[in-house]
Amino acid sequence: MNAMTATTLEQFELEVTGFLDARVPRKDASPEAPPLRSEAEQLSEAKRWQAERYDAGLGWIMGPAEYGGRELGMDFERAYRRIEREYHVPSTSMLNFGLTIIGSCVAAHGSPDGREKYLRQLYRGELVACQLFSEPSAGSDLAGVQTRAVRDGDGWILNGQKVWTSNGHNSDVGECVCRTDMDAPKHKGITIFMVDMHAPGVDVRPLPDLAGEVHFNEVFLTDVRIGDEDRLGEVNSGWHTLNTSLMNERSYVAESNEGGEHVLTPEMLTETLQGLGAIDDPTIRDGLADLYVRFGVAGYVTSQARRKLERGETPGAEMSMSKLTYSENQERLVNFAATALGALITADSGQGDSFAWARNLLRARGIRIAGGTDEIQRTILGERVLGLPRDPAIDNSIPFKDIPRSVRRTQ
Amino acid sequence: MSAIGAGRVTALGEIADELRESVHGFVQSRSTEAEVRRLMETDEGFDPSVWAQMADQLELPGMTIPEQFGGSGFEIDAQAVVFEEMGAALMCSPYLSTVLAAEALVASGDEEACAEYLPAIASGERRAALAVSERGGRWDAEGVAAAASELDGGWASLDADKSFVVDGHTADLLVVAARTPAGVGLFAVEADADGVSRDAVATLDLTRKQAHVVLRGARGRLLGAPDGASAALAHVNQRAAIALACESVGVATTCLEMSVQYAKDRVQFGRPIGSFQAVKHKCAEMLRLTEQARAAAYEAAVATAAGATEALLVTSVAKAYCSEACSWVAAENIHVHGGIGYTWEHSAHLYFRRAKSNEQLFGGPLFHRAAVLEQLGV
Repeated sequence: MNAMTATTLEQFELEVTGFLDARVPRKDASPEAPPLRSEAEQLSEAKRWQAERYDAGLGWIMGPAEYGGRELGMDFERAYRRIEREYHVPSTSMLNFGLTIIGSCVAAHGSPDGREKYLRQLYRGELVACQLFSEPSAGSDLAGVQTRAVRDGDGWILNGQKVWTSNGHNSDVGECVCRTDMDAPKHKGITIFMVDMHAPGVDVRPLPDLAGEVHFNEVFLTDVRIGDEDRLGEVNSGWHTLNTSLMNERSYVAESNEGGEHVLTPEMLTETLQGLGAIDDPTIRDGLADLYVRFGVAGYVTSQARRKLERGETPGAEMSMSKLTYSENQERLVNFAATALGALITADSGQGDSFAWARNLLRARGIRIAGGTDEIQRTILGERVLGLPRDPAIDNSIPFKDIPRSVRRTQ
Repeated sequence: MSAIGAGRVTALGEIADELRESVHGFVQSRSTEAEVRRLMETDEGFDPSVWAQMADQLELPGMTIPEQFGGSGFEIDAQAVVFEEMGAALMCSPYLSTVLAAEALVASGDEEACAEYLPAIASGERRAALAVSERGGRWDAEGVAAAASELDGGWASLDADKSFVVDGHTADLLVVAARTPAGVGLFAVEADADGVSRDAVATLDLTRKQAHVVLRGARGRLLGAPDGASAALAHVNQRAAIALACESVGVATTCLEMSVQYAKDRVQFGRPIGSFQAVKHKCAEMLRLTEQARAAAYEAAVATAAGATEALLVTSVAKAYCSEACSWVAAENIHVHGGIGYTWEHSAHLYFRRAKSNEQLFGGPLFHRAAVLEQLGV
């Protein structure tokens, strides 16, 4: 536990194994995973587990000691994840924004008071965090946010509407992208704040997705008052602050390529098809093999990027490539599942888990949109990696208030 | 064979970088577009003086031949770089054919034959070609119909009709698969022996020649066991798949560069066409597929060099993926160039021809996808 004593990876792995052995069953000892619980139960389990990790010095392995971190490198973080995968542990995915993207943004850009206020609680799992980024008229063009933050004495007053707020209905704090200067060009009038989701004037309304499930929300902000210590980064330099967050988000989505919880694999489809005795058709076999090939290659890319990281090279825009590949592969998988299952995708005929693929078929649509659409990723690759000329933008230099807005029509 | 792989450098290491630099310089200076176009119109399809330089200056023909037989003893992970660079410049060279025939000799386990044939191949003095496939276009032993007579002191008389024999018309030595009473064996046949006829045939890929080889009572020296072709060809075919995958990655890399450059230079509607998303996004996809293909090809080369248990699986994954991805990139390169890309004088079709031919040689995507499921036990 003493951060002053250098820990070797070997010692650390022993420590992690000891920590886990004392608390949770190994997967090889009891192959059955505990049954899935309600969302509320999952959340309280996640908070309890994160607190245990944090109290044992394993809640923020790469973080500063001042806030309960261990100040160890990425290889230690990976070692922890690798070892933990061998055990049945409560999922902490509902805390992920706070533990990764938002936490690191607060650590990098928060005021001393803000860091004091949030970091320990975020990493101990006491505060659930969400991103208040997109708006009805600022989707792919995130720099077009219209939510206003206006100075009020030593604090700020927020007004606006956010949307696609994942996990907003469970969150205690949100990282909010606000407009602080209407006269500046759109990238130069943005500031980032942390917002108390329980504050007066914050109204979270669940927005069911196309599968009828609630994963994201609309969030209405009406005269919400926050302190200046909740500001992340300088006033009007929020676009820069945000870009570090977005890079983290892409790498997070890319990491789910491997071993994430909702990630579908060709193995899962193989199991379904084998259960139905539908694995011998040569067309199905070729399509299935094609999926194994594509998923296999995606895995090689990830592991080679990891080796690059370990050698101290930066993978950079490979994150955009990984996200594209991930969404392409998930979509190909569910589309092929529908082809292979035929009529069984159209109704619950009670044959094995075949109808579960209907839900997968629907949910896969979102992967190509969330975290930057396929088109945005391709633009990033084209412009930042290949150096192709930018689309001539008409709205980068004029004052934000003069930019044309979308036309709203009544249906 | 296993001892040869010990302590090798990988394609991702420093030595590979040095090797790439020297191979890149050599290939780029010797395989200019003008030279490629000149050579593809010749009967031989390559320049013997460049072959000699490649052997003398870079020692490439013997790169993976064991040191005891006059080679440098590298594994395919280091050689991956060579194939990639040659593919990138569409180098017209009997390199692939000679390397694979040498691998067949090594894999036969016949030390006496290796000692006799390999040193001259390693030094670049003689070139060899694999004569395995027949009308059906299979490269495994099971597909072989060619017949060998009963052995007489390790020699047999061969009757064969071999198709798709890469560089078969210029090789000095043929490694022929033929059926013996014990199974399918490999035989070494001198190309100028009696009963051997070789005809260059028209090819999709203009930068890589193929021959139809007919043997009528030609004398062949048995290599290894009379039923040894199956195991030896498995070894060869694995390396052939990786070599072609790496070449195709080189092809795709050049196609991507050509497209990006053209998208920056070509102006329509008052803007470089690369500023239009339809073109920009296509180039981004070309980049993504090329990088994925590269990762797959390297993974296969490294796994094979290390003798990893999953090496066959990774190789089939790589061959299936690189084949289709790189062909797609080469096809889209034609499209990005518009009308000019569809002309004889533009080089885009030469790259497309190589990519598409590589896709199908030594097992196409259908073959390798079936192999993937077999390896996975599905």
